[in-house]
Amino acid sequence: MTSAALNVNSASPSGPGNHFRLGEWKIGTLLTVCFATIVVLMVLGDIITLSQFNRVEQRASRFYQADQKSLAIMHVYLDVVTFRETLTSLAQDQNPGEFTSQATSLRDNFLKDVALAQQSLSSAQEASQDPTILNRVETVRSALPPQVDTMLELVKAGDWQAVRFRLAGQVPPLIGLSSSLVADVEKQVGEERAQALEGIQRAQRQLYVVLPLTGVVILIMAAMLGWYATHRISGPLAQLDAAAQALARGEFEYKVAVDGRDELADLGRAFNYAAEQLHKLYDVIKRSEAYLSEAQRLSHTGSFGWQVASGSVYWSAETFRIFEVEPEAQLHLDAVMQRVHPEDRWNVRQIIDSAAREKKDFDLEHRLLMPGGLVKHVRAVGHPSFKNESASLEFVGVITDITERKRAENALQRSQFYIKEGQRVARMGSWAYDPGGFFEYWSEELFQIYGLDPHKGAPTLEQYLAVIHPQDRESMAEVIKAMLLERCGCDVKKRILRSDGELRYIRCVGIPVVEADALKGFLGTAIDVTEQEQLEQERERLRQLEAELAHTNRVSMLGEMAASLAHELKQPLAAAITSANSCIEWLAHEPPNLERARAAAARIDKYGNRAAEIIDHIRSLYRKSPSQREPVNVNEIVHEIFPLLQSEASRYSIAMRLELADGLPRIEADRVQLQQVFMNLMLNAIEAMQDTGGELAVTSRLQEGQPLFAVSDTGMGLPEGIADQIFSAFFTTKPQGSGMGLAISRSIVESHGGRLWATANDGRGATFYFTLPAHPL
Amino acid sequence: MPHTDDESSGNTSRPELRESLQNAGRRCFLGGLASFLFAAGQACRKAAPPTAAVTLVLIDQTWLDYTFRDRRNLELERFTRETGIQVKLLPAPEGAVETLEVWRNLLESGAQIPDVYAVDVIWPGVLAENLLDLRPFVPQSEIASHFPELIANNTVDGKLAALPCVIDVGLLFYRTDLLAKYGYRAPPRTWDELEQMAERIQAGERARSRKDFWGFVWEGALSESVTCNALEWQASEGGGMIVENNLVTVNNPQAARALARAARWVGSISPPGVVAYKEWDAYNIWQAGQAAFMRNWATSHFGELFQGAIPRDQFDIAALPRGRARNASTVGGRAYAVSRHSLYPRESTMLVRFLCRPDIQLARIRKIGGSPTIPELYNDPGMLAANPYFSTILKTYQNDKVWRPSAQTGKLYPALSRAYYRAVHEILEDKKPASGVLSGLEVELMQITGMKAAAPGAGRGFQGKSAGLRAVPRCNSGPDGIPDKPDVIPGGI
Repeated sequence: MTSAALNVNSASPSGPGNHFRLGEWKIGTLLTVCFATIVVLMVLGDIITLSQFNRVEQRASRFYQADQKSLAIMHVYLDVVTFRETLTSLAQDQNPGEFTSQATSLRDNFLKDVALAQQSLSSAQEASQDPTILNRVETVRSALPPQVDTMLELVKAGDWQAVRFRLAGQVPPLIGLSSSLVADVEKQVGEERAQALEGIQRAQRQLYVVLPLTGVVILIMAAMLGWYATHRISGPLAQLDAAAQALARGEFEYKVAVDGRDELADLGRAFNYAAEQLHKLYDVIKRSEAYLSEAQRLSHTGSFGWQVASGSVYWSAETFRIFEVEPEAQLHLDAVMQRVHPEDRWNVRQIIDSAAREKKDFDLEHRLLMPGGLVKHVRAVGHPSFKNESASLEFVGVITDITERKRAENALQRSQFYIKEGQRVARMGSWAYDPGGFFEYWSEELFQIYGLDPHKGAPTLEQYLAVIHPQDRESMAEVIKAMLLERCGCDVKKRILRSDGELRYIRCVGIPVVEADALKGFLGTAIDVTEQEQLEQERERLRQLEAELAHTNRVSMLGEMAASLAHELKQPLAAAITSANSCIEWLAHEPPNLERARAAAARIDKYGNRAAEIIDHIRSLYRKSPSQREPVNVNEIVHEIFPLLQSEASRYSIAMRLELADGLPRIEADRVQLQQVFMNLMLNAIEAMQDTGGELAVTSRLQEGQPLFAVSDTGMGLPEGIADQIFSAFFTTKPQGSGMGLAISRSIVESHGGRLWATANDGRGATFYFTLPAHPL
Repeated sequence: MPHTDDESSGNTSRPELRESLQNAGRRCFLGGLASFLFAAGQACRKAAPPTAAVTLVLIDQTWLDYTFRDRRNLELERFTRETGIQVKLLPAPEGAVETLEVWRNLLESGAQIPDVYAVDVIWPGVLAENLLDLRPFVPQSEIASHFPELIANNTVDGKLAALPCVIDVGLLFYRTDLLAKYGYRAPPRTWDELEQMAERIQAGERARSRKDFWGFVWEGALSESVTCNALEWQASEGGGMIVENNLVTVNNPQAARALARAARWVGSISPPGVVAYKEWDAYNIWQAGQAAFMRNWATSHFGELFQGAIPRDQFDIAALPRGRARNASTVGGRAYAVSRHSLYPRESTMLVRFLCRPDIQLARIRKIGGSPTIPELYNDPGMLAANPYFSTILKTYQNDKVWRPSAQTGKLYPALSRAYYRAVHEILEDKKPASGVLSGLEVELMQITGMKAAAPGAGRGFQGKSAGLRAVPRCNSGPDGIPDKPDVIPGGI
């Protein structure tokens, strides 16, 4: 087909140069002649085959003849041998009658066999046969009877002696001659056999060559004839076919070149005429179809026809494109259904079947699954056509590729979903506000936050303000007014009072939308910050509670130390009094020793300051001030606290020892709180040793870049198994303890980012450690 | 001989086959379908006969004689060596009558083989018309070197039908030891002496419990042998030569007397079976030491004699005893002829000339006896020295020879001889009165030959040497005796 089409295509430019080579004969005549020739050739082949077989048979018969010869001459030889042996034995018996009859019968037998031998030898007279063999046979034939005659004569004369001599002397040469004949004939026959065999083999070989060759030659000739006949028919037919295909493709200019006078030439002419007519008709149709096709292509819409009864489906080009099917003359609905997405197939089938049953329109969207896995969305609209009501119901309609549309829809849906979910999770709603004074848009989550019904649509401004907490309502109204007035955004936190009575904190952020200097409106978000707000308030309250607690702790500590503090104060005061006395004296000295008096006065000042200092410290502990963080040298704090506790310690015979490392970094901390921590820990230690006495050591060192402080005692140690419970609030082992000291200390340390813990000492007592993160200065 | 033939045929046929196949193949591929089939057919056909060396076929009489056969094989090998021509030897039946029948069948049927025939001295007239004239092939000087009477005998209507190669004669074999034993110093000179000596010795030996011992054995079988023997008896008594000067000479008292005497021997000094004896039978008895005397051919048994049972110093040969008229010894002998139908006349003639050549004859006679056909050779001292019996043979031939009438009667001779030996056999076997039988024979022979009978007693004037007979024109008329020859034994060369 293809090659024929190519031939035509390549030949068509040359026009009439491409012609049928049909000669003078009609095709019928030509075929008859061809078949007759083939039959003749086959008969010829049969004749050749038969002659070859005949040849082989002849060879075989020669083979057989050769055997006959050999056998015949062997008989003769045996006759002669038997002749001699039988007669020799009889000659011993000297029985003339027996001898005569035996000799005669042996001779007759011999003559018969010789005749047979001569016959078989002469019947197959071969060119290769030793010519003397027949002569020798004849000699044997003519030699034996006279021997018999002679012997019979001798027997008749009773001369057995002569008979025996003759049998011994004159018969053996005959045997020799016979045996030489046997040998020669055997050799001869062997050659003949070999020749016959070779002949047979040669004939067979020829058979093997001749038969296949004959067969091949006949086949080739038959094939050539067949080819010629076929060519003469198929050539023009191929051109007609090519022309028909060209016609089908719409190449109406294509003409079958017509040459000759046979049937095919007539067909060619008729074809050309038909093509011409079709061409005209086709041009008209083509033009209108082109428009339609273009329209379909642009709209991604193809048309179809569906004959319900037969299931045949007719498609426009665009439909084929949508289905991505090679344009094909015949389509069946089942084939079309294969393209339908498997998940939609059943559904589609239901719809169109029911449409066919009820002869109603159908309009459905479904998916197509392309071979590459691509999924297309199409919309199929069909309308029953009742051209001929009776038999065949036919649907006509269009198929539109709506994949792009579907994809856009899906994308939008997805993004909307994301937004919605995101808003829900973040408890955030979005809104748009029209400058005209109403909400254009409220997101769904926004409705949820405000506890409004989404189905009623975005609230009016009045409705909105009504939800707002009365205390914030006015300010919010002010904000909205300002926004409109100043075209500015907003970021306000307000409370709302939902219809269910729930109070919520809402942070509302909005920005103006300005297009070409004209305010188009506002859009923004509203975030439900109720939880954060509540958390913040809770935290503040806790802080205050802690501060109160710490203050109470400090006061109670100072109360506990009141005696010690009094003693502490008393010392500088006493010293100051002493110095004052000295000063007075030195002034009262004659001459007043001013120098000494000045010195004493200086000392008074010093001691006074010292006392004031102590009081300041105590005051600071009493003060209930907000937390103030500043860089502090912790060693200094220890030095400040130390004197306050010295007298308390000595009261219980407790030695105090300081081992403070130099060069500790300053720490951002609240001085009073740290003082409280040290005091708590040191008082705790003193209490632990108040019955026994011991040593209280405060050490500081730098560990892994962090200052580490330790307060250790040699007291009763930590209660077994509950080492960590000691930091719990209201835990105490002391009868007078509030149980708050260690808990507050830990809270303070942790609020500074540090850690507080306790370990039992190896020997006696316990050590409390805490770290404070170094503050980078 | 056979193996050389095989080689030549093998050498030629194989390349030829190859060539024909090649031809077939070539044509097969060159031509179309038709020519292919033709070529295939050609290839199947047997190639034409080879054109290489010529192989001649010789048919001879004496194949039963091993000595003779070996000798001749040597000669043929020499011939092949000299000429490159191969020769195959065919055998022949024992008796002359049977042999002649074979020869005639072959020649008259136009057989292309054999090429060369051994021809008995009595046959040229019978076979001549199918034999080639040798004169164009044989130089005249060579022809002339043979005894003229032999050439004459072999010339039929001016055509030299055969070239002679051996002369044979009838002889008396006798046991020197037995003769000495019974007090005889010499062999018998007459038939009567022979009869007496045989009788005595036979009686003496039988007395020594040799019951099968006989005095005299000869060839009495119903065959040409009888003609030869009877001619000797008849001629020695002066009874004529059967046919003499175109007259039938059988019916005369001398002949009757001679035949009657022979008939008397049968059963007395000769075994009763002697009437069935051919040459071989007589010889068998003789060789077994069971006879004191034997009549046989000069060429017959020399081979056997040399290797036979009887030691050489216990026997000797002599001329046949004389009758009242003379010593008579039938001439035998053989010549070689070329078939008119031979495909190779030139090569065949070469073989004939070779077999008859003086040096070949000489070499042959030195080994196995017989007499040369070339007078020249009788002067060769070496030959006489080589064969101790030769002088006797030569003398017998020269002095006593009688010819059977084959030259005169030509083709009629076989019938004539048959009638003659049948008649004689009747006398010998059935003891019929000789005179009666002979008169009947005379009539029969006259009918066969168309000749007249000689006047009774005419036979006596014979005496003339047989050479004289030669002048008589042969064909149907001329009587002349050529001895029948026994088949096997009297092998020529």
